[in-house]
Amino acid sequence: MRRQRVAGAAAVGAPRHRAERRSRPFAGAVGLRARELARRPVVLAAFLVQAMALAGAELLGAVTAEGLGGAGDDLVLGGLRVLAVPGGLVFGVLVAAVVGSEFGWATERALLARDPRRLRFAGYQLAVAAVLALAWWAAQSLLAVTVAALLQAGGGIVAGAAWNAPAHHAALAAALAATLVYGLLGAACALILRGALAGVVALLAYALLGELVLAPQWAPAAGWTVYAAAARLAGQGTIPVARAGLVVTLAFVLALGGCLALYARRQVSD
Amino acid sequence: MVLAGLDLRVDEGELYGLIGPNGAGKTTALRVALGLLRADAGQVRLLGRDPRSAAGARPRRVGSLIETPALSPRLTGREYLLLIARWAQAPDAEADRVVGLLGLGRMADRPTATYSSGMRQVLATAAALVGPPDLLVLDEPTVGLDPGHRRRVNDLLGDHVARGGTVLLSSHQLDDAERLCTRVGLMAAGRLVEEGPPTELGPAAGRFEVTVGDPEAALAALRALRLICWRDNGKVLVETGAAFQVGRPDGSLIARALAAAGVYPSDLRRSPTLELAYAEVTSGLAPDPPRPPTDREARLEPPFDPPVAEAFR
Repeated sequence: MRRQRVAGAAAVGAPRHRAERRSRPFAGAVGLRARELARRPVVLAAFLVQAMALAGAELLGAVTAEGLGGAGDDLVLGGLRVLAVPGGLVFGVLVAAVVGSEFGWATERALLARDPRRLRFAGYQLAVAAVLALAWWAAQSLLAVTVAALLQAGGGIVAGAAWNAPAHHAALAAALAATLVYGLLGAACALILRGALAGVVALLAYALLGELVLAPQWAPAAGWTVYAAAARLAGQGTIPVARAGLVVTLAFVLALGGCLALYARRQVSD
Repeated sequence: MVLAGLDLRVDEGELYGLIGPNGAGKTTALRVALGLLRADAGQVRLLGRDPRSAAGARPRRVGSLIETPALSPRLTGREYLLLIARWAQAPDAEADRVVGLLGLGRMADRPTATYSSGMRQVLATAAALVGPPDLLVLDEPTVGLDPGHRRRVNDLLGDHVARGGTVLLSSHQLDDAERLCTRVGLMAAGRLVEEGPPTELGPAAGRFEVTVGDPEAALAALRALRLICWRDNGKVLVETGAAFQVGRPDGSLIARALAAAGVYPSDLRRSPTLELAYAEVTSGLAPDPPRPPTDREARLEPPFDPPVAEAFR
């Protein structure tokens, strides 16, 4: 009935703008996009793969009695460290794929034709990535903690640290930082290179080749990667914590500034 | 360089059509107008402002459809329209309004990935109408539509202009452009070659086609009024747009002249103008249009009554 009334009003050309209006249309658009992401097989697959890898790693850690992530019998801490790295990197790949898909579907063109402010569009994509990052971090950390607690309880493993120990908090925060930074890097790659595949390849080239293969070969660079910094914040590695914090912050600022500066000049010719 | 020396102005309340061959620069011109592309030189104003500036952002006032429909496949049609409404800072009710306008019905609640190409085009057109906008910029809006939806979209464009809105569209549907547009611009090689009301463009401007049972009687009746006319493929063509024609007789004058002579046409209509104008622009590959006889032809085998033929000598 409501729809009929609306259509009828339009047919006679009446009220130009209806009284009701969303107070936060931008947030509403982000919410719709988040709903769309929840229906995408690639997103569900990434969540599932990461969850299975995390649970599998914790199970192996319990069964082999060798612990996980250098945390000994503390499977909760080990699980959270795995969530930070390499989990953050996996999330970055996912974000590059979902942000890049906007270019494949040309929805970027439809939205920029309505409102050509590039920074608003880039902000929209980054906000979507941030929502996805929070969902990822919340779901995966809950899983990591739950599975670890069950394994410890079921296997009679004494962790030696309470569930709310400061080390756990630090690992949880490190997992969030790694998720956000790698997510931002993935989004930046996709926005700058305007495509899912190009974004994923660029992120993997940087992270796998640059951070994990080349940087360790050259001592001055080894302690300055996001991977090493995130691992240190989660309680692994030997680089100073202050430097780890600086690297993560710098990576975030540079990725954000670089992607906004480059995307601001975007010409939509495709 | 895709566009060169393009000087185009669309006034409020107009339905302006850009026509021209593929590669003429129509879509590029629309992209520049919308701020999707930056012009290397010159000045672009959309609703009086630079379309790329923050001050020129006018999400609710301009609706557009550029090239192929751009849809999120995992959203339903209604959700997609809702996304556009929110992006354009328009009320959510706008999504329902345009669903009704284009008769999307229950189709609107299915994921857009299941839509046919025609339905995708309809949905993209619906998205352009969210706002509702003051200005519509549409790139071939009826391509791929079935006749029903094509008529509906054309009617909506007419309604939009009737309510004071403005439309800038590019199209290869010359009959639609001729019927709908208040002005048409013919583009070729990045330039605006010709511009004006569609009935006044090209070699067939001001020409009427009359279908009668007795063409000779019709010719005699029309020539008695000193109208320039001739036979072509069983029809009588009446030229009213030539520079030497005194006054510009309209269809009613022709009908009255024929009726007075006891000749009743089964059909009387303006000749399509854009088709010939378009053919003229696109390198003359099309067959020559029917033309009035030359002076020499008129003298050798006069198709005109003596008084009219006199005018050529």
